[in-house]
Amino acid sequence: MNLLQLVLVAIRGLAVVTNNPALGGGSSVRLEQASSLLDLLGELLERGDEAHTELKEFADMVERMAKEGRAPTPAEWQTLKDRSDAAHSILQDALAEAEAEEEETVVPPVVTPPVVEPPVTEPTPPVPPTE
Amino acid sequence: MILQVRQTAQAVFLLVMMLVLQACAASNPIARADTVEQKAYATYGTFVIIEEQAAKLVSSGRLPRSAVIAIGQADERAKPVADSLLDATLEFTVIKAEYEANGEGQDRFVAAMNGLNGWVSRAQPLIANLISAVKGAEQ
Repeated sequence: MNLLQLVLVAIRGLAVVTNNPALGGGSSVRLEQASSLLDLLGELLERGDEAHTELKEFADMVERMAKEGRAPTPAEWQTLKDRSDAAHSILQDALAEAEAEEEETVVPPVVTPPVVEPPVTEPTPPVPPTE
Repeated sequence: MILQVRQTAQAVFLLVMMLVLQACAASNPIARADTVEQKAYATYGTFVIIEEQAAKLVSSGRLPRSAVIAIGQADERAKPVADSLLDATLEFTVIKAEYEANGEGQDRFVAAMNGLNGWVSRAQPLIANLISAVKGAEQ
């Protein structure tokens, strides 16, 4: 059982206690807050997705590097740079496409034609009667 | 009895929190690095892993457009800073080698080290933003 599994077991056990009023949990505000925090942390650790695994392996590699007291080599840097450039290219293509779609779906503003007011004609003065 | 259980639960909680923090540090490459070059490498490597995760998510075609835009924009902001961090590291490596070879140029060496530390500090919040965008898209 590794550390993460041990923590998960402990979290689940503690979540049972803190959620159960009969065991002294649930009645205290602080314990209730702790319960939701534990749920969140448990969820975070339980995911164990690919990125998390990769991050842990990379952390182990950095630790080995630190123990050996060596600096990363140019080749190690270049590998990371190539991987970053490849991922960045995918992300920027997707961004450009999404932004273009976004622009297409934007409804153009309704242009109301200018109101043309009829020319104001001055009232003609009354014509005096002719004698 | 209930008080005892509560005190025990609180003690266990503290113990678990310590274990959780230790577990989180275990998967944090930056926390494992000692020197400024190792920190820079750990920071850049963390960025690359998250960037690749983001690219996989975006390529899956199951993300809403808003999430693709949020991830793309976060990457757009982080990438130049991460690349500057890489350039600063390469520059630092050369200056460090010269300093170690002949013991001259201490000021230049210190300035390069401070500059590299500065790039590490600048990159970290941008990487955190990218992580937030990826986590937000995954949910």
